[in-house]
Amino acid sequence: MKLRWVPLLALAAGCALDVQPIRYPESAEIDPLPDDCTVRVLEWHRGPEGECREVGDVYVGDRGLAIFSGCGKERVLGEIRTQACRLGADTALVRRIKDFGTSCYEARARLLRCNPDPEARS
Amino acid sequence: MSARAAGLGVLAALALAEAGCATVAAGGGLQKIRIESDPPGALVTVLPDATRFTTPVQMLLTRREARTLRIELAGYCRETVYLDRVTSIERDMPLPFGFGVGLWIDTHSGAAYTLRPDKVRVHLWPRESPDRECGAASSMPRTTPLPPTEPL
Repeated sequence: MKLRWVPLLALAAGCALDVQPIRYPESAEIDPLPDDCTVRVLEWHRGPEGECREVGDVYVGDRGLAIFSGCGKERVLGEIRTQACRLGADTALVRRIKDFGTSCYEARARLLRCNPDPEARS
Repeated sequence: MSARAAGLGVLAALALAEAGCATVAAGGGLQKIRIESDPPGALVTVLPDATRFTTPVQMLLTRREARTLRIELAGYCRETVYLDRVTSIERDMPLPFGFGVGLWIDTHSGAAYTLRPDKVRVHLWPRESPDRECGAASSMPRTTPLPPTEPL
């Protein structure tokens, strides 16, 4: 590899997705779920049936040049699932953010805990 | 000085002038956000910062982070407002001349972004409203009827 590409690669590597999870104070006692937990992904306005607790939310956006490291819909939804598991949520209500300044898929998701024992399903 | 050297000089000057365009145009990495509620006097909690204000309020927030606002008043349903971070229009202006220098400066100062919406006005619904009921995040159209009231 020619040395002249090193700064460009370093720049691209530093421009990954920007993932900003927010945990709500009243859900602090909810334990995280395993990294590969099952998360239902629904439309933002499609409220889930039954009683659910609002655990937090997450913003996933473009840090600058995230297009180099992948920032399509599947990657972003994968990040949302990961953050949901970390915050102890089993449901994500997702909406896309309209941002004309990037070709990345940017999204906001509400993270809910609907099943008191989500791992018991499987 | 040759014509080529002069051209390079002009290009370099443009690059420096355009660098960090949004940082200059947007006044740095902070943004004013105006919050009003009806009725006023509601408590606004800004997450994840956990800072608190009372409406009406105009606050200064860093543009780099998305926020969640929770607006609460005793006797009313809580309303949640999501401030999304989007790309500022000024961010890409330096690209043709600045070779990405301005983009880098704007991204790191936070001026490359804008929080949306920048003006929030929420109507708070009473808990006993016949039209709306309290949801986990915000009020929503009532689906469960209010309990019958005692006859007069």
